[in-house]
Amino acid sequence: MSYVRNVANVVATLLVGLRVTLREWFSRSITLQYPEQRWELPRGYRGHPVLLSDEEGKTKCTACGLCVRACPTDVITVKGAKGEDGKRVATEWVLDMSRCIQCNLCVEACKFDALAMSDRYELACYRREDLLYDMDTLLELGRGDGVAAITVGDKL
Amino acid sequence: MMQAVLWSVLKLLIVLTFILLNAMLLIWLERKVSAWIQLRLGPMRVGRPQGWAQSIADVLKLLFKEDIVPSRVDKVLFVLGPIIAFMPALMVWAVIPFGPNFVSADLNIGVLYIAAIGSIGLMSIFTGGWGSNNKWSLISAMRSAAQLFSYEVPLVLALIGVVMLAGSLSLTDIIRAQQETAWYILYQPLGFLVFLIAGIAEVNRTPFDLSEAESELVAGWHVEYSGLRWAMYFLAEYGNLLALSALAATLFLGGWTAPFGLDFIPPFVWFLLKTYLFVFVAMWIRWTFPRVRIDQLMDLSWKFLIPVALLNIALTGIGITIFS
Repeated sequence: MSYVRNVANVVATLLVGLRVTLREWFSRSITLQYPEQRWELPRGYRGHPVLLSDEEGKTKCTACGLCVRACPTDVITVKGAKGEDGKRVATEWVLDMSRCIQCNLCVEACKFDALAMSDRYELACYRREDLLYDMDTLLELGRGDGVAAITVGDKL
Repeated sequence: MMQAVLWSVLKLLIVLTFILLNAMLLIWLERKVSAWIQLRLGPMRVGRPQGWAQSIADVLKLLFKEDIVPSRVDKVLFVLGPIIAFMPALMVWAVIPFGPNFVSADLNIGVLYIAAIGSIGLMSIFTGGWGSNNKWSLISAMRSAAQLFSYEVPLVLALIGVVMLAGSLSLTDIIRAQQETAWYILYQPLGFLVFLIAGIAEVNRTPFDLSEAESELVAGWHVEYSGLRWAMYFLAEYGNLLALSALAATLFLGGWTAPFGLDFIPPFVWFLLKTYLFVFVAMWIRWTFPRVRIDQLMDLSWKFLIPVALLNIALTGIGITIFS
């Protein structure tokens, strides 16, 4: 008798398994066809820092060096000079993306709202040198070119 | 006379093309079905829509691959393996009726012929596994021998019930007998169940794919195979699946018979529909159940399927005696 009960039990559990796969068979696939379809990034997604510009499209960075000091991985290089109006302005601002850990500390440190975190995540390139983002690139990204959202986040 | 010969050759060519195209279609279908069951999309890029050309691309790739024969293999057996694998998958189709007058060779011992041809499949696996000179291949071949040998018994025993009801071994006669009464799945539910389980084991599909258990035997008997030879093993696997499905449709679902008087759809289409129904069931089973252990495999055949098949024969005999 236990043999028959065992067989009945086996058949019942097999049918349960078949029902599960049949249900999954006719439910929607969760695959994303990546290059054509893209994720909707969660709010506050943090990519790498970009430079913000003022109304005239110039950088707000004064090359004060606070971000350089704040950076834990030492990836920011800033050089500044006196501008025409006598104020200091950044002439060179390089982000070494090969070491950046996207920690937001530079943005927190910036006193001039010149930095923000972008949501850019497609960073692949063919040469290591391409990961050195110069000031023009970062300003361009900061104007929202190829960047969906800019988050400034908390300030110190 | 001349016309008859030409007609036979033509039928042969049609059947061969049919099987090869269907085997490729099945490979694509298997990938799609597995993907759907696992909430994926499967092949999408090669050919639109739904990546239909994926199998064609795969076959072309395999055609152009280097033909590797490892240095220590038994060359004759190694080369022979895939060829033997392909043979039974094609030969079974000789007796399967596609329509009322469309059967390559209507043997009066069709069922017996299929049982005999089916056992050649084991030879191909053993030839390849032994000839490869690889321990995994050999273990796989040994397992396969034990498995196929055990499952041939219930498979043939399940066929006996059908033969008893129809009173003939010819597949065409079996279909005609079903047209007069009803589909044999109604008379032979036990026999059908045994046939389905044993059949899936015979074509080496999950949950009975112990002979190619990837997790332990790498790929089983075809570890050393690549390129076209491997493709032949692969196509033969799906050819066998198709043959099994066609057989199940013929023996238990009335073959090309149209149900509910839907005669306007040609018999060939009905035959295909029923065949593909079984193909889908086999795929559904494959992507649901995990692989069984070797002792469970043996237990299932000798302790369950064979007694049930014998019981089915006894019940059929009693039924025939009472009702006729």
